[in-house]
Amino acid sequence: MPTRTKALGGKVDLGPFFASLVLSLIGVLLIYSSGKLEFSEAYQNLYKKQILWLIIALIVSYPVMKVSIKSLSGLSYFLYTASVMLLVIVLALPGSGPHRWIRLGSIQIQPSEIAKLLTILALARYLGRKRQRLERLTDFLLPLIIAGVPAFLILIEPDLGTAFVFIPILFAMLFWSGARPLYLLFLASPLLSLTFSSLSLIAHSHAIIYTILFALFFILLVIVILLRKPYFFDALIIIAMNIAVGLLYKPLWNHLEAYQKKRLLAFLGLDSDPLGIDWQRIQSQVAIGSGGFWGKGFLEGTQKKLAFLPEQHTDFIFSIVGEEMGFIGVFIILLLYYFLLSRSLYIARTAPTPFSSSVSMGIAALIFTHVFVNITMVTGYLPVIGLPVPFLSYGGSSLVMFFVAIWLLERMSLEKTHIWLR
Amino acid sequence: MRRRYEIEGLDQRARVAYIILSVAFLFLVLVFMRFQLMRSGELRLKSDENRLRVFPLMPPRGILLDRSGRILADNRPFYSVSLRPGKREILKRQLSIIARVFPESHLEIERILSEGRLSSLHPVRVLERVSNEAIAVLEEHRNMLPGLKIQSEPLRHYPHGEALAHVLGYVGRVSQKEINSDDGQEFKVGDYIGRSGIEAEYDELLRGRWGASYVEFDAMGREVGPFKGKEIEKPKAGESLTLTIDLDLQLAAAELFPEEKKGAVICLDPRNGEVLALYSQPSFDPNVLSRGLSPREWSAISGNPESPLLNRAIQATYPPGSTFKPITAIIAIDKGLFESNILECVCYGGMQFGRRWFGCWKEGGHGHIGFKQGLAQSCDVYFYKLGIRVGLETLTGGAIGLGLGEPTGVDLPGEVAGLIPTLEWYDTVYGPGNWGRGVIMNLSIGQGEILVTPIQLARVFSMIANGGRLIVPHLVSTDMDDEATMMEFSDERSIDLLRESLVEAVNGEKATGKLAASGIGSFVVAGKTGTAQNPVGEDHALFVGYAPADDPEILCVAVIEESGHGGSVAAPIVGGLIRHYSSLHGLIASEHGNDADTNKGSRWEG
Repeated sequence: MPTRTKALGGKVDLGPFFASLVLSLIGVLLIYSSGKLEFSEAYQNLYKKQILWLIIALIVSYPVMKVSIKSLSGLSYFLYTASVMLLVIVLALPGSGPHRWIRLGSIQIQPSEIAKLLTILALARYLGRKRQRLERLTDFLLPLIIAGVPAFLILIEPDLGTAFVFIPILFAMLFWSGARPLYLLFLASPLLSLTFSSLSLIAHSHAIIYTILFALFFILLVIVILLRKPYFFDALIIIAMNIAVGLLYKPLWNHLEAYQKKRLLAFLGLDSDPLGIDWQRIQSQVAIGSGGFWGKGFLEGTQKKLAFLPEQHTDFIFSIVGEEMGFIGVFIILLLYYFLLSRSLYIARTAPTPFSSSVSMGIAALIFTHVFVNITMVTGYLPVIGLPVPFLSYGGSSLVMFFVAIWLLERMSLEKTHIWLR
Repeated sequence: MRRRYEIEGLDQRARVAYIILSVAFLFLVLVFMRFQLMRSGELRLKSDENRLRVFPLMPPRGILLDRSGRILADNRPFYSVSLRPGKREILKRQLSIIARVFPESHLEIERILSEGRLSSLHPVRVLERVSNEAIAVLEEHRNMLPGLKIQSEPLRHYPHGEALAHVLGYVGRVSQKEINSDDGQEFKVGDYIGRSGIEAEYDELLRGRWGASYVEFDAMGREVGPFKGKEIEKPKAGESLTLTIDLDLQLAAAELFPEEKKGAVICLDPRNGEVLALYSQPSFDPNVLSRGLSPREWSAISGNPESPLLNRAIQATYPPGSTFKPITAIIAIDKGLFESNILECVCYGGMQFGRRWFGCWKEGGHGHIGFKQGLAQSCDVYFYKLGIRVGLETLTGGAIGLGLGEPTGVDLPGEVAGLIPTLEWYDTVYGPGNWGRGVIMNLSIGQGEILVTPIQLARVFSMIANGGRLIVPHLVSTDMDDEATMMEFSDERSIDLLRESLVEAVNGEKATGKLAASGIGSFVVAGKTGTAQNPVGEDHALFVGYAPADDPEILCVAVIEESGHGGSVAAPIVGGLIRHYSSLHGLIASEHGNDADTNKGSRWEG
């Protein structure tokens, strides 16, 4: 089997891999630039670390290509359970502050990165079962638990951004596996209810608007239920859940970290704090906008050099793209992502098994969520929830995880070819 | 495909996924187009503003010079000492070194440290207004003071302090209210603005224009260096002003003025109105006021019952007393009373008018007396009678015509008008007709409700001295000739007689102003004494004198509050000033002068 795979290697669609590699190399350049500050030399060697991480990522991730889909599918529940265990361990570790990392010698590992990928595998395994139906609400219970457990553990680390990623992944995979849009709406409705109801009470000045929105949403939900006539029991549960959420938002809100509340409030324009959290958003917009069409030139970003940009090497690295490489640089990078994602979709569509199709879709959803949320965050259209942009942002765990994801994709692509040729 | 898995509608779902993906990326592209193409100009400006800080460069204020170019006000750098922000221990060590070098500064190290902790970006201010010597000492210790930062700022300096305070005024920091007010003047924080005197009158000229330097800063407020592409705009210095003031004479005026007395002295050139000296007492130190005062210090000065800030030369009003008699005379002459013959009368030490007895200052009376001696000996009865002949309306109208009762227009702020009580004024104040006709008696000898400022007296007497030109007194030597008004008198011969009488008033045997001429021999002094009744204390002493009498170059007015007779207190001051002026400029009787006039005056040789 391995020899055969090797023989057929030339037929693998290496597009996603090369796109990722180019993005990673651009990322190294950006991290190098982010270290070129007027006064601080603290970050000037980060790019070296990133190069090292890139090499590690390429070495570590490549063997994934060698694992057959069948064995991957077989191992998926075990791996998933292991990753959940890791999340528990990271929470149990002593120390104050966020529990996000496990130290292994000189390197730090972020179990949440591993969990994202392994949850996709576990979900794909479950959704790819023979005769798996997604018709009753009860059919969604296990996928919800599979995604919900790690998401919850990550949420209490606390890491709101990473926990959030599980939601679009779950929905994308459910949709891909044939869930009816009505049921996706059902699943989403408690979250939407939560949003409207909490907003109506947090946002003092716009409380009425949000209250009306909440009411309209609820009425709409009821109308949809009446028209589409789902199972009576399911409808009952959904309505009950929406009502419950409307009452439960407050304890949940109180659970948020102070800085997260602040960020949410700042995003909603309820906390005018131009030198605090909103400062990031404004300075990032200024950086991107001042880059214009051609950019200020590599290493020449004044917003960056003079440290007006926050988190320049991680979450806000895209603002350096905007400032130094201009619209043209942004466009090229967006094209690379678009190419990578449409390739992933193609692989998902042509995958030989439901499992591999689901995995591909999950990975596509993962990358898409990171890219879309990060960029809308950097440009100020979403609150700053702290998600790195794949391949560009500084960070070893994230880089390794994304390359593993890419090689998984490549494996799916390989097996399709493999079967096709047989 | 061994295992069939073709889930229903996969193609359809794939289409939906592609659409979602494409729409999302289209959205992202549009977002970047909005920022980078549509709003890039605005955001580029913001990014420049982010890192650009403008440091205003203060223009040096124009220097004030006296008529021969000696400095009356200039700018001295004052130094302030700060330390760059840093760790507490390092700051503390440096502060203790500074405290050791300057034991007299009484540094409150703990207070400075706690202030310094409030801002970790800005230098910590340690000492202000440090002398050059102290800076030199600090520089010697620089190796132990790595954070030392010495900044200099111009501070207005008045080398002659109190002697010129009322002429020059002082400057002060512009207030926030003045910055905000929309009166067409642009002020910056830290700007100095003239608060009184010449500093206020010519403020716009003196102030100059601010420059700016552009410096690039980072997000933490650390200085990067000059901002590329923006040149330093050099400040434009304020214009220097040459005043008509004669520093020697000014200092002499301050010197001669009796200590502990209040009042004012003005010397001017009666030919053109150039003010040579102007002194008001009590005075203040403009250096102290310009430096900025604490509210307590300020209220101590502004609330002082002696009113040191009041410029008595232009802002205080006094009854002119007998110095008004020549004015009564001019008005009488102009009415034609002397055309046929010079009026004479007999003084019995007073006269009855209506139901009231109006006394002469000389209780025994002057006996038979003419115009010349009437003025020289300041006979009240003579002027009562003259006043009655002139009449209230003519007298007050004439006085107003001579520029009394209105500001002279001197280029100093805050000049007051004085008061010439006209018929209408009496009607308004006391009710129509509800006042005695005797007021004319008091007015004609300069007592009663009439009030003049010393500068008004100087102006009227200049007109007498210079042959009829009503000049505008001024301190900045611009061409003021256009401002002067030529007075035409119907009876010029009698005006000459008035001038002779003023010579007699100083030099005559029984003259009241004798002391004004003591020690002067080579030229003739003319003048008039005055004693203004003061209802609340001793009388005010006045004297107006000019010299040389035939072709006057200098005219002085002295008003000394609450010190008795003008002849005994004010006249010697004027005499001293004229003597001083003469010693500087060598006054001699002009050769083409009127012999008849000069012969009238008695002379002391030596």
